[in-house]
Amino acid sequence: MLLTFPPSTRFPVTIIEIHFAQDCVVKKLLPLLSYSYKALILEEDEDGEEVQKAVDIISRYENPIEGKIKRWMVGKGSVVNSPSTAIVEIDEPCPHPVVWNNQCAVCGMDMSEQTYINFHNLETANINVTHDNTGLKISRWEAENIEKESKKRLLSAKKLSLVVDLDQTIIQATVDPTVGEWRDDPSNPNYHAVKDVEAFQLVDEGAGGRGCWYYVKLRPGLKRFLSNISKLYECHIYTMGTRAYAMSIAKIVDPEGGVFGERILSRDESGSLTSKSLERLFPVDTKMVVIIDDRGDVWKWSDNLIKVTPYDFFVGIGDINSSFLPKRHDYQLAQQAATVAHATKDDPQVINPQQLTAPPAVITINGAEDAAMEDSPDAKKEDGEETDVSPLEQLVEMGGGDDPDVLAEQTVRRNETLTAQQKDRPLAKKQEVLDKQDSDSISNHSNNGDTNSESGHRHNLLHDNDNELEHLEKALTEVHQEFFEEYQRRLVTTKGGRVAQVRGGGGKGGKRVQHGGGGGDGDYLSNVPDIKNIMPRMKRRVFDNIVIVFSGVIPLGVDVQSSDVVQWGKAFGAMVVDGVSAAVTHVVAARTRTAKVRTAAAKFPHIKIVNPQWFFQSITMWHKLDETPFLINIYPEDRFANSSPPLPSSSMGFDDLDDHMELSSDEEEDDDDEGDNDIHALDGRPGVIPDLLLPGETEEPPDLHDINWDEMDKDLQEFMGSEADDTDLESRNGADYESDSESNSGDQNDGLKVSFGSKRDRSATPPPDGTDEQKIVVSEPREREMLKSPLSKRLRLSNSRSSSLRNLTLSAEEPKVGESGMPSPAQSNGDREESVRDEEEDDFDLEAELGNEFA
Amino acid sequence: MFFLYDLERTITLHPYYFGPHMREYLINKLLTDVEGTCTGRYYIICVLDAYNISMGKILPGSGLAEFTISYRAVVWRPFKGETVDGVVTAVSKLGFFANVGPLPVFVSTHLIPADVKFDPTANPPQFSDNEGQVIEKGAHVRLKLVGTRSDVGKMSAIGSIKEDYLGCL
Repeated sequence: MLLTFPPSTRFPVTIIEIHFAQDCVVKKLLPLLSYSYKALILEEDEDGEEVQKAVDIISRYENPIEGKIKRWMVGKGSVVNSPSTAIVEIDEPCPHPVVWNNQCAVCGMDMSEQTYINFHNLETANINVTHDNTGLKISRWEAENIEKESKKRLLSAKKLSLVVDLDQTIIQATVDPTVGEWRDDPSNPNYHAVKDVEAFQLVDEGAGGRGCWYYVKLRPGLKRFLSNISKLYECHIYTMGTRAYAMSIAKIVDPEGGVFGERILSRDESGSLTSKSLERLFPVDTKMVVIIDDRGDVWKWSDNLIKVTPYDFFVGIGDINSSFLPKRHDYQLAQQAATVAHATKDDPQVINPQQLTAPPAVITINGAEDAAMEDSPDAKKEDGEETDVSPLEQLVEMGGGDDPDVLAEQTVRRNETLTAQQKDRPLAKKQEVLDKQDSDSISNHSNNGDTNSESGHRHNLLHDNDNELEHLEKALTEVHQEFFEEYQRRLVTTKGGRVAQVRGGGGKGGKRVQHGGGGGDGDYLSNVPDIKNIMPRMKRRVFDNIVIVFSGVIPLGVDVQSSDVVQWGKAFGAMVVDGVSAAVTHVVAARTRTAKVRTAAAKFPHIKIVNPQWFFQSITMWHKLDETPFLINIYPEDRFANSSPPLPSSSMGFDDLDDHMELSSDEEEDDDDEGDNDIHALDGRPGVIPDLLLPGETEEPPDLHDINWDEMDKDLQEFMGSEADDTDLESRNGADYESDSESNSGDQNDGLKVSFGSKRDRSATPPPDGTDEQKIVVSEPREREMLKSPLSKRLRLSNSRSSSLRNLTLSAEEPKVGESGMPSPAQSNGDREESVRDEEEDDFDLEAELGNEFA
Repeated sequence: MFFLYDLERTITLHPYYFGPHMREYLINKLLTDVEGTCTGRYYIICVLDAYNISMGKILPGSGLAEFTISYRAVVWRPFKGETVDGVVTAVSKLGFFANVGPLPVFVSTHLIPADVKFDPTANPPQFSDNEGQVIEKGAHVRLKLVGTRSDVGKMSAIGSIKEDYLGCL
């Protein structure tokens, strides 16, 4: 070991004498050499005055470690200027490569022993590589040796390492006792889904210390997956659950221990509760490691990661061990067929084209208790533990990291979550709701002729239809194959003397090589390709040359480029941009009529507009799927150069809003009737078609959920009494297009007007589509100008004044306008019946509608 | 190595127990208190006899009585260089762990003969020389302590099987 002067030494120092010759065995704390350094001291001269004086001070350097002096780097008289200069090399009899309980596992020396010389032996061995025992640490050198050994072993067995996450990746666990009851009750509609759920009890944790039962559902096909994969990969478990939990799960998924063996790492040993680190298991290099996990953020989107679609069997339960992690702002993909989901009486909506062709993806971010959830089983596919958290809070939470207070609090929260799950029985509740809906839909079946007809029996809440593992197995097999092909190729090229171009030529050389023949260790190891290069390369083929715009997929308030979905897409080679332009190749839209979809449809016919299923399934299959089955049916009027008469406004009822309550998207996509508060976002965007005018989708900024609408309605009505009357008058006069034209011509939409417009939309006037709109704009402005009431003019004037107050008022009043506007009650049934009208029949429409309202 | 030590312990007794069976009670309490404990330097295996129980002294203010008991006990004190037998508790690629009675011992791969290799593919994982010597969880091994370490109330040790006559039994 090379010794240096401690940094606290006063440099420069001059060596005066060396006390031990080379090859001497020296004990600890013996002085090895004497040196002198210069210092200023205060001295009193004869007159008693203090004088500064430079003196040489002699000091001794004491030996911090026992051993034999190998050689001296300095001699008598040499000057040492910095603490980085080595002065002597000492051969230790033991380099203490492995330390257990502060004791060298080779020589038995106590490593925690400290002397007055500030020198720590423990620094030599500081890497933790074992799965279970955290007291065991090894030095870097030792770690490299061990890893070299295991790499050699893996290569000769043609295996890679696979780090497997448990929760929501290969299993899902819950503590909801409902599952146990369902499992024992063959008459329950969910019986078939839960009959193979395994249960175990952990005594040490959970509520009241009485131990709680965990119910574990294996992802379909898991046994086969593990037995196949374990032939190609050496599997490790890495979970955020406790050790006891991880062992219990391992016993369930791998009863013989042949797949995982003792290679189980839990949060007890992980060293961090907020992130996972490959270095914890593979400290030296991670060239041969693949990770499968349902969360990318905990791995910091490592290149070794294959992110899988979270397994969400127990709907609304999520990951019971994720309370320590930053909240997940993730989409949750609905997997059930949409038709069943929408066969409820509560949302008697016109089935729009999208629903007829493809299962809608419902993107939710939160809100376990929201009423919205109760309306559609789709919407229940969300993480029950998650509440609406602002990005800031999330940051704070993540920053909290390993602070003991935060940890304690999180532990409490975790226990609370578990207790709550046990008590509240979220699954039972949801099944109740589902049953209720079923009975409702039976009674209302005649009313809804167009909704599907399989509502005769009780629906089951839990569906056992996940096939992620099949695709995952295929992907992993491909990675394995690619890796070893590349490895063989490199072996050939190296042997052929073309070391310089390791990756060159080779071609289909894989078959020519006899595996493992010749070549020393160096060959073996320097030729090992890196998964970090191979896997991303394979993944990027999926979306090669594809430029994607997401629409309605990423929750509001989440930074687009860093959101999970985008990261995921990027890992697969897609370029993700914010706005629609000619370079864009695909628009992935969760809904049919967002601003982006319409822009894409109207201006760029080459853009494929697909639903998110295409995106997610392509990723799952590691293969770009044909877009055709996933294309979103675009309203003809949204299409480029299409001048056919406009279709009826889809005019989703106000109730439908609930369905999409959780949906939120980029601000600029706020094209719904209620989302008027985003007008100001549009003001600065002259290029965007003012989608406020376009009916169709409803969505709402998430933060407005809890507002007491009724109260606000009342307030508004009181406050605006006269205006409201005015409005009605106006619309009855057939001046409906006023607001349209305004928002088209000037970009200064004022909130009030726009809401009039949207109100009209909802109340069954045909939607002005791209072309029609243009016509209107050209032909009608003057006429409309005249029809405008003086009041509305005044309002517009005041609103067009730029003021920060304006936005405030807007956002405060818009929801009410939507609801309090007279025609809104008519939206439910009258709307649909009437909606197949032409715009010329407008006045007639309105009359009919009014009739409806009063009926 | 086992020793007979003469030890002392002070026990305080609640007045509730003052009575004819007080002596019995004191000895009982002594046994439960000290047998099987580790002082950090040795383990008290077994109390042979309590040969002297001092007169009880009433503590002023509380009414509790304090007794000092002199007793003789068998203790086990592990020494560096001692050869002991143990049972393997866990096997990892870095070595194996064994329990020598109450003492946890770690034997690292450095102190395992070179021909005894770790086999991670075996289930359960094991060290084996392919000649019948198999060290897996539950196996009995003879090992030599190369170092012991004392903490407050517990001990641990490092072992070696890299010498003649050591290893699997």
